[in-house]
Amino acid sequence: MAKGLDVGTSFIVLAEEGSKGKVVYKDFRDAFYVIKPTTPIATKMIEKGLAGKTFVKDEDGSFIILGKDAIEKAVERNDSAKRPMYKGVVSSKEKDARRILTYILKEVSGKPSEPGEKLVFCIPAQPVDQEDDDFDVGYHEDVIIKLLTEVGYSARAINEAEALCYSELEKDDYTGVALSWGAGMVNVCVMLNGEPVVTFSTTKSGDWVDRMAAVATGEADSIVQAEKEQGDFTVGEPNDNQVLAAVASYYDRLIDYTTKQLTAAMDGHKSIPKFKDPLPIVVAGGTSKAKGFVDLFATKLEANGFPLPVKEVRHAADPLHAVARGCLIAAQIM
Amino acid sequence: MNDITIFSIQVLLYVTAFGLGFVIGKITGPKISDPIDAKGSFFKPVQRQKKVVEIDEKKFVTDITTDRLIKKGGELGTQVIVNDDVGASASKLAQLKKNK
Repeated sequence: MAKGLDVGTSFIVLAEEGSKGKVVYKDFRDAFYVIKPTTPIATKMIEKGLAGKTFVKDEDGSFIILGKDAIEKAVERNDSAKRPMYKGVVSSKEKDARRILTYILKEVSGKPSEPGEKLVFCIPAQPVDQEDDDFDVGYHEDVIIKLLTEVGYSARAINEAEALCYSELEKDDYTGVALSWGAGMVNVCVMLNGEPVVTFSTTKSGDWVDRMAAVATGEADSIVQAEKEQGDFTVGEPNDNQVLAAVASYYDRLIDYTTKQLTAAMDGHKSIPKFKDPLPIVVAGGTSKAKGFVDLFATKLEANGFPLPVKEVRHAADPLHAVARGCLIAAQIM
Repeated sequence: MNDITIFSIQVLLYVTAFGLGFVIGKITGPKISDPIDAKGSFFKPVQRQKKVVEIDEKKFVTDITTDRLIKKGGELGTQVIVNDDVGASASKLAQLKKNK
């Protein structure tokens, strides 16, 4: 048996093979919210109020609410939930990030079915638009390998966009371009016959849209995120709801920025081979689920002079699970 | 042979002997090199050749204990089951990698 694990800034997704012809995914919102009671009575009241929610109690008596319940609780208090990860790697901004990420990953991945069960998890590529000491993929990888090894897995890392290629480019002989639009980053992989030739990332994605829209409208990031995920808007089009109007506008700018970065990164790149045929481009990730996203992305690619011949721009069959599926495929042939 | 011819031959012999001595001396003599004190002008300084010796600054992963987090409430994660023969996809990719 083997497992695939997409360790994302916003979602953690576990993939494993179920009964014949089935794949079982376990999705978990990568967020937490801490409530620290000040009196024993408050402790009892809070614990009662959290009935049915997913949470843990810390040694100092505080309650750490996890997952989507954390976001709901934060929105209820007009506050923002915290993230154990920031821009694709374990957050150095949050004091409890490593401990909570460890707890979540242990719970979501569960115990291995046999000692040394293979597990492949995804990591981001080095960004082309940011040089930041906080961005340490090596450390992030080491933290995850250590905790998964302690649980009993034989764990290995794979580039996020490479995993997406394995999941989505099967009918194209594993040749094409894949972009994983997560919350913190956009990861890119150009693949030729199953071999990644170029991988890189950019550091603006869904969280950037939320942050910018939150600043523009004076709302908390969590509220913007909740509106974005539940509301009806089309990327780049006007909207009566001011939060959604801001979100739609910043989406447009994000796509424009990313396609320009793609063009700049690939134009004249030594490692890019001369492709005989036009390439399929696959997009996935939670950020790509917005209405009108794929069409606008295809338009902007052309407008910003993307240097490779494009056959089609298509959405992954299951945009939220595609990376985890790719990790599972990699684990099965590891 | 007149005097000029004899003089020319002598000069040629001296030059040849000096040349041979110079070449033999260059080949067999001690090698003098001073890479540390290589000279350069003020405006075009000569960079010293440094040996690259790097220290491993990779961040150490300390123990992370989660024992003091007491689980309350429900299970983490929502389960979704889809029809997907992922094993066939893995076989195809494995075959492609094997054929390379």
